[in-house]
Amino acid sequence: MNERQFLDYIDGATNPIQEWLKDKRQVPVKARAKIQRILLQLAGTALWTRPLASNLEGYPGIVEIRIRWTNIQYRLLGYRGPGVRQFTLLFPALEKDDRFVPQNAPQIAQNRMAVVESDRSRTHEHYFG
Amino acid sequence: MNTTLVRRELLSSMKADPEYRHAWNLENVYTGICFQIRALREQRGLSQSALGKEAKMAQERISILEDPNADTRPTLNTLLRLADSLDVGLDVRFVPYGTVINRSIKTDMKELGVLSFADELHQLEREITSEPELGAAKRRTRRKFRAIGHPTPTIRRAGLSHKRRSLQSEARRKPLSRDYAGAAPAANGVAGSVWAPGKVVSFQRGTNVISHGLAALHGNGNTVIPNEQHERQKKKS
Repeated sequence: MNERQFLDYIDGATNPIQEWLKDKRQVPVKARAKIQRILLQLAGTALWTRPLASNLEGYPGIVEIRIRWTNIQYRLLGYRGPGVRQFTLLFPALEKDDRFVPQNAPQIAQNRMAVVESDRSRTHEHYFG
Repeated sequence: MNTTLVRRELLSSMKADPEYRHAWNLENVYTGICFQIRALREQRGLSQSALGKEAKMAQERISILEDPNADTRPTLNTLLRLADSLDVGLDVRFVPYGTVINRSIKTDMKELGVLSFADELHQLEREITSEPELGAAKRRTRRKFRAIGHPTPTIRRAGLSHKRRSLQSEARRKPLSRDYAGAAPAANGVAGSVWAPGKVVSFQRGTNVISHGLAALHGNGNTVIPNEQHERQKKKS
């Protein structure tokens, strides 16, 4: 069984990952379908390989999932945890001209990872719809 | 991953937004096939260049085919070439959305693997040869029951399997009656089951007619007893 559970980082009553996915200005419907389909596939894939997923250099523990839709490069930052076979989506970003948008996306992801590690209730099961 | 929950979430989003439904359909085809190509290659322990050699494609092309973010999407011709080199079938057909949802959630890479024709041949041959044989055997047995003047015995549906099991074990203990020991060879001929005078030597699943026949021998109120009926009919005449 290679299944992995996807979780979203939650901030109080809000789920920033779902809010971002449902915002059509940031993520068009077709892009959302692609992101969700790839995440669903990764949930059943034991070994994540480049170019789809890779560890983020300089930010230990942070993994970026790379999804391209038309010319937009989505970068979903997350980490393997807090539990075994769990992956928490921490921050959704874009990549333009080899730079993250926003530029501090990896730092935000790392801060959120520390929050989740200290308080596991700051996650919610990912909604794949 | 809670598959019931995921299925419900997908259905909810597809119901709410036809555009999302159509987009999911597209991604399910193109993203799904990328991962399946990788799964098939890994199942066979092939590198991208080895698969490329088999399919007469460059390693870079295989890499692109396995990448859901690639610019180009595989054509049917390309997929057929890959299917040929992997020695698997390719099934392209329209399906209801229920099928799309169910296939979408089967993402375990091991489940995406497919046996090559050579590997599935033995099982395939066994399935194809055994199925019609059983059907023909049932028909032959029914004809033989009719030929010896007995109606094909029936058992009420309620508690059928339990009743059948108990009757089968009883039949193994008791010898068949003289009448049926004579009739048994006439009812024989079913592949995989042998009726010897006074004893059932083996019994296989799927030979329902034979089970019904045994039930009839040891009737217990729910069964038709062809022997007794036959005797009664003879006395009347």
